[in-house]
Amino acid sequence: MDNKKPPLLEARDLVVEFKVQDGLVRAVNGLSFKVYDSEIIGIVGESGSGKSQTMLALMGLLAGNGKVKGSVKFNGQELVGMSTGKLNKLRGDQIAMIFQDPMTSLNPYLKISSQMTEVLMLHKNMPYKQALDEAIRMLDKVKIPDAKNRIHLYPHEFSGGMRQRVMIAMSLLTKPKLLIADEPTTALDVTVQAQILELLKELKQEMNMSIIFITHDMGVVANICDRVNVMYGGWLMETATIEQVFATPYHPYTSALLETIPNIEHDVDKLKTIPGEPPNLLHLPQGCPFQPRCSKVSPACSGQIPLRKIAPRHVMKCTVEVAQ
Amino acid sequence: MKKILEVKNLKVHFELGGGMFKAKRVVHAVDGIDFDVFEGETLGIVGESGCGKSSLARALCGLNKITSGSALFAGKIDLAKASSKEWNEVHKQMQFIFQDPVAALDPRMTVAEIISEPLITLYPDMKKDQVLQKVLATMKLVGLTQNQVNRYPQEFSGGQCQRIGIARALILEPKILICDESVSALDVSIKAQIINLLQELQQQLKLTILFISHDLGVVKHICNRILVMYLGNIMELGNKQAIYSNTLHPYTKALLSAVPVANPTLEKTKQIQLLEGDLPSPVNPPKGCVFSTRCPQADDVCRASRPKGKIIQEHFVTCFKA
Repeated sequence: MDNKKPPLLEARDLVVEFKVQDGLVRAVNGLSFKVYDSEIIGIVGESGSGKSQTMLALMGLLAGNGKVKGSVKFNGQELVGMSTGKLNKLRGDQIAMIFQDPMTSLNPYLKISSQMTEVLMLHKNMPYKQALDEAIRMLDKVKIPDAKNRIHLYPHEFSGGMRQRVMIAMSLLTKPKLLIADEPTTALDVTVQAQILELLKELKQEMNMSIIFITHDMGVVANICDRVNVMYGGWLMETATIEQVFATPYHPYTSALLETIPNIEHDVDKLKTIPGEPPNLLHLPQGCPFQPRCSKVSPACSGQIPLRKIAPRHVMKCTVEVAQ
Repeated sequence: MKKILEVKNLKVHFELGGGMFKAKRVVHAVDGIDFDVFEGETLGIVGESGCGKSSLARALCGLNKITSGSALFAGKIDLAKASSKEWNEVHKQMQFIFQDPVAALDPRMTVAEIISEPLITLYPDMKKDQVLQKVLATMKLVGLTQNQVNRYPQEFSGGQCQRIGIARALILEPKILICDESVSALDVSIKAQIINLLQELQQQLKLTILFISHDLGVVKHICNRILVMYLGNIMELGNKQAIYSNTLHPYTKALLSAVPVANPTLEKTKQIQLLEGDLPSPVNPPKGCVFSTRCPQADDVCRASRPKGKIIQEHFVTCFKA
């Protein structure tokens, strides 16, 4: 990874708000992060942390009552406020997305062949015959056996793991620069998950793309990511390389999160827990959203909390003292 | 130790479709398994989706019909042949906790109504204030407060809803709890809270727990013995140390190596045994060993006949190669 080149994607002070009956929900609050060329960046967080809304905002896919503020630059182009027409040229072409449940993302009434060729015919103006060849080649690449014949099947004729492969193949048809993967392995069995993670790593190398990988599983992060963003209550709590995050998690939330995971490698008598409940986005405290559950809370936590650089490529948003 | 459940050659089959000119197809969800559950232990049942672990759990609780075989409960009642009166007895001692905590609760009932329902159904003569006392005591046990008693499920978070589900199961003071993926839908920080709660309750109330999960990290943390299932059959059964540190069955090995560990150095260096392909259809299971279609060690013998279970180094293993 070359840090001197400008980042492929740069988000600055991104805010996503929803107007709901009981007030204003701020799902993402002042998020800034960068994605560099051919890296895999993980975004971890629990439900309500804003990880999925961040990505939907990037793609212009927010629900009707959602509003985006701030700036997101992709390859120099501003995505926030871009017209739908222009976005449609980017989405599915240079930025692609795969979702958690492949069955709800594929059209059950259409054969895989027509769903896959449509992408190329629309974005690349390819004739059907050529698009079909290209689609078969891509299915081969994601290791679907007998792709030539199976491309003419319907989604329900594939297993869950195979469907996720079809989704990945479809998203990669246009050779995107950025792939956004929203919990792509959460619904899969561990053995199939291992296959898909290997596949994504191979494809990333081969096609030289960047991946934003959203997950809640720290094990998956350790397996596939280069860097990770930890989110909580709409805030970006900590950004670091995965080696830094797992060896020296400075943010109290990150370290608490890592301690709650039952580890298959070593045993403990009792799991550590994070007390309390996940945050209610309608009633967040002043300042840091993790305050009510934090073990190192201080009066400074309810004020303005700056982003602090602790080490090269290691940034966190917390007032806690750090032993250097 | 006393056996609380003795399962012998248990089969749970489901019939699919069939019509005037079409043959019925049979899903072999659980296909002849034998195991015992001892009093006070936590038995983990693991396997991929479609391996039959939920069908097994639901059959033991009467939510599915047992096709054949026997499951002797507390040495008295055979669940395969139990009458509805006998099932009432069983349900007083065996309760179920579901995966999705929100979907498992009726949104139109208050917490008090939800938790008291099993009590009112199985002990219709109990006095109202006695029921309420019991509800409050159980709520306290699972970490809910008294002032939440008249609220509705929508007012609670996922973790709290699961506490309500646990309270509903515990109000009958059962001996066995069957937890079917009971912590899988919860967030990481809440998952640890519920796991600790289950362990505390087990010690306090001397519960036997059947813990069904696909999360091998959680299973390792909470269980004493582990049963590994694949396509309706037992692959390996043994105590925790035996299964995790002295793995004998190739399927268990593949399963364990596929679990991502929260440690990047380990993840980058470890050898993953990638399994090829997917689970075969339980409608038409392989003729030989059920795992032979994906097993890296399979040969003609494995593909031709089913291996019988054998005991090796205190494990029960179903494999020719072990």
